[in-house]
Amino acid sequence: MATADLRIADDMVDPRTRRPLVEGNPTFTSVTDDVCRIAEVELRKTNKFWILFFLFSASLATMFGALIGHLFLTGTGVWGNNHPVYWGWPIVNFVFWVGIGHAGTLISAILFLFRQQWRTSINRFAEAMTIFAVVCAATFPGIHVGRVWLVYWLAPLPSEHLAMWPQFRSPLLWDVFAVSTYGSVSLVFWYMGMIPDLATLRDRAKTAWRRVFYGVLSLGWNGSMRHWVRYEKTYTILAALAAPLVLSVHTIVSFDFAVSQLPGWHTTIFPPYFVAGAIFSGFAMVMTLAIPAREIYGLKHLITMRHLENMNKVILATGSMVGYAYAMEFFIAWYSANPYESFAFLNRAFGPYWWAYWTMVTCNVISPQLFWFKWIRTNIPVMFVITIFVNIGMWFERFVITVTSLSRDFLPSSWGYFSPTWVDVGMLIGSFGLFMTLFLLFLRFLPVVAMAEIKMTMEHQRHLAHAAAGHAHHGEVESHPGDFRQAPEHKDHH
Amino acid sequence: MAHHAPAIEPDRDEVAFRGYLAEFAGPEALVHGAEAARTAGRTQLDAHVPFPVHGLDDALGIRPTRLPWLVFIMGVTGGVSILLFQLWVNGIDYPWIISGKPLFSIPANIPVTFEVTVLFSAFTAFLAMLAINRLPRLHQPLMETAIFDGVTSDKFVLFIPATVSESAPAADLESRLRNWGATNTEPLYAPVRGAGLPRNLKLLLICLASLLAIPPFFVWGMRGVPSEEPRLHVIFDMDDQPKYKAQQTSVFFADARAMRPQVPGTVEWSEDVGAIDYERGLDPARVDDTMISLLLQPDEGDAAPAVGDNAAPAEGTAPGAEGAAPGAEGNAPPAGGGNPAGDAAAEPELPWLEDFPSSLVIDERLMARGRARYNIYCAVCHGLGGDGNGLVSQRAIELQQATWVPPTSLHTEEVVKQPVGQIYNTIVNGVRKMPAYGDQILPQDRWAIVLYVRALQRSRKASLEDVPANLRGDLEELAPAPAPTPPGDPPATPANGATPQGAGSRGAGTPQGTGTPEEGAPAETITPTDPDAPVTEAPSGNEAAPDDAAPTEGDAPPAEGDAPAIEETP
Repeated sequence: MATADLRIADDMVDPRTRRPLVEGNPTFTSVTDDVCRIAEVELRKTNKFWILFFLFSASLATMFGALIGHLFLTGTGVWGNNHPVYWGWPIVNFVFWVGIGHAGTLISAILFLFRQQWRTSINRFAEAMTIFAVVCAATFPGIHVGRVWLVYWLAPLPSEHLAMWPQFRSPLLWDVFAVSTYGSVSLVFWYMGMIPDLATLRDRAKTAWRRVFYGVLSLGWNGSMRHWVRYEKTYTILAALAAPLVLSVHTIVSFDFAVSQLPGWHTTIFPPYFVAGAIFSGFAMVMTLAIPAREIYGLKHLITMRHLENMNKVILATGSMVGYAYAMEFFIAWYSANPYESFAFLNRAFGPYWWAYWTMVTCNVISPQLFWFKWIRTNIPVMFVITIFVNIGMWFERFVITVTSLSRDFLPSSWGYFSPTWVDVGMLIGSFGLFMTLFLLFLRFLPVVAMAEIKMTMEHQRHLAHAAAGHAHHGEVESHPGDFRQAPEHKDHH
Repeated sequence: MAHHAPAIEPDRDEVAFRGYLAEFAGPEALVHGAEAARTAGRTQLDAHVPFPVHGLDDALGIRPTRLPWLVFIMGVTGGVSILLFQLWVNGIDYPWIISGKPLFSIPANIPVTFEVTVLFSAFTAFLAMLAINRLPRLHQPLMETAIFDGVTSDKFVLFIPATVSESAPAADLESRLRNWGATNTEPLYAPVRGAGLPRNLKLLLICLASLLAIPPFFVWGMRGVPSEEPRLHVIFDMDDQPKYKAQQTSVFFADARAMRPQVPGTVEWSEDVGAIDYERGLDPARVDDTMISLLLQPDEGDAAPAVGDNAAPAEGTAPGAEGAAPGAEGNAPPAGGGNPAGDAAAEPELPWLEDFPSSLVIDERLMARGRARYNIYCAVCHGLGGDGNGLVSQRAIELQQATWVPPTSLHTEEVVKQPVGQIYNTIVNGVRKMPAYGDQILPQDRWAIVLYVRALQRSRKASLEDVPANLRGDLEELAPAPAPTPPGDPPATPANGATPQGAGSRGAGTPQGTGTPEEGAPAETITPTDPDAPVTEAPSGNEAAPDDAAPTEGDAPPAEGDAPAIEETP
């Protein structure tokens, strides 16, 4: 039983070194126990909070399903979408959820490629959140098509009945490909990352149905080093593929707007601005979920304050980018000397939707700036509130972009004011119910933290600790602090 | 600790010794143990560990995987395939012009190409990783050993496969393993024959497969079986509407007809059918009273020609609409409606008007009107020059539409010889596949079109004498040796486009008798008032000009009775 022997007392630490990524003094065994315990609780001993929260979320999700049924039976007239705002809340919700779905793959892929080891404790969380957010996101355009039973027309299938093909030059079609590719690749990435941990759960399973459930899901993983080598290579490849993918998805979502010619939409700033906003909202949602989860499930030594602080720094950075984008939109509206553009933006801030605009600015621009202060960055209740503010603000951002632009198009005679119906509101709430239901099931039955990766990080920390203590152990390892997942061919000098 | 009993019951199936499993205290001990084993000449080593141990792959002698190449190849395949697919779909199979943008351009096709490349690469990477690792393999002999318990949590186990000569655990190997740092060892046995699926699972799968086979079997059995019931529609599409179509039966009315006869006392609303020559294209002098009374039946007003002698009676129309029993009436799909009796057999029987009705004022304006109406209604099929080569026809032929009947050339002998009244009737009621235009074109315009058609026809048969004397010089410049034109100049010869169309006045009745509409279009603007035009037009319009074209001169439509325009123009 190997132990990760962390002999770094806080007072001895060189100020340049960072806080350890795994706190306490865990062993490989204790990490396994801590993480698996969450999924292994007997059903009747399930955490009370979990049950309450699950019942609440599941009833909201049921309401979502019922509202979708109502929509199918009645038609899209149950929504507030009407002339001139034909893209109302469904699209707002879609963009909102897709944006949230960006943090998972970003943490998994981009931080992995940059060898940011602190990602290991939260990546599983974030990836799961991505999948569930994409599920919610894909629901909205799916039910928005009107005759939903013909939704397969979105796919380029040969059809004698229809006798036509989709239009590959349309951003809406790009969107179909981008979101479905993103959803499926994220699912593969998430699932593949879970296979070794599912095998751990399988090997610890006490009951028959658990053995079957985890046994089938883990595909017979046996920890063979030969398998691990290919697994790691595949993981690196998937990360390298997912990194541009995650950037492409919200870029293409922004094309839905930017490629059209409506003032307020038709701007080249949209792709980077949308991507920054997506990361911003996604990280905020990860925080919103991780903060209660680490409290309830006793994962504070795995998801440490350093993780939370790092996440807050990312939120600060992306929040500043979003604020910059808002300012730049105004600048360009003035600088372009285009009266329609100027009108669109003045109308946003001071027109009939001023309340939405200033909610957005308060939540997205002002609140993350508080993270400049370390005491706020490390204060759990405050950061929790701020992340919720960011979620609210990012929903309003999409609302502002979609609705204010559409409600004031070129013809003043067609101007209008958008009002949601109770179905709109119910579906937004219901989508949160669906999201939380899926997430709670994940927390309850699947490995919530990437155990294998944590163990690898511990082993790596141990090497670092030995190096700090003057041991001449695997000298090359310390010279490449990030290469715990290095591919074999890079280690020929070893 | 030395020899665990093999976990697999040997009596169930024959098992063979496969090698030694040796547990080590930690990752580093495992790496050292693996290095020692390799130094001792053991190859094909493997290890079972909870996470990829740094340096272990080298210690075991694992070579880099070629998986990235596979991913690269499949990614490129996916990208190229989807790019070609987009080219085919939007550029070739279903071209759809939007705002004049190119049908296929790389920038617009990059997003989808990128996504599909990533999709192919990612799924290849994942599936190939599983395949090369020979997963999923839910149950393995390894998992039944005692030593495996904990490998996915905190154990570090080295596997040393048995060599060919080792058919049973050997004490010396075990002690060497201990020397290399192993804390625990266990031999691995595996069935000689690979273990199949558990019996229960097999049964379950067979049951499932049989259940799944039922629907296709059912469908196969029902194939070709007639049914009185309408098709089952899970989802009613827009082409399924709860309404009656023509000729359907209805349960609502006593006579079971969905198409209702006119209510008694219905009065026809139409233009005054006063002048039978002007409205019907018939010669009043040769139409007898019974024919007139039939023609004026309100029910079948437009069916005049059909009412005649041959076709209609056979269908039971003759008794007239008003008196006929409802059933009989229903049988007579309003003789005029669909395929009016324009059949060759019916033609000679009717007394068509031979010359334009006397009430019609034939002048330059009417000719211009006729040209304009012709170009709107007729030219799409018959062509600007009347050769039966309009764009609709060209496209239909290009698309190889099986049901397409090419429109008749207006210059065939048959049409040329038709009395004006018959051409008029064709416009009103259509002929063969040509639909009726009577409800779109007013009588005055129908006559205008007939006038213009006559002009077109005349232009093909004209001789030099038909050209005003002061313009003949231009023609002779073009083709110095005029030869008499054979009278039956085939319409296919595009000669006429080159000739100065002798229409007197601007535009009025300038036939564009060219081979193709493209050539016809410029010809349309040529008038004798523009002396340059014929010169430039001649070579481009017709390569065969010297022989054929020059002598074949366009003719002034005013031959129809309105000649003065020719003299006026110069």
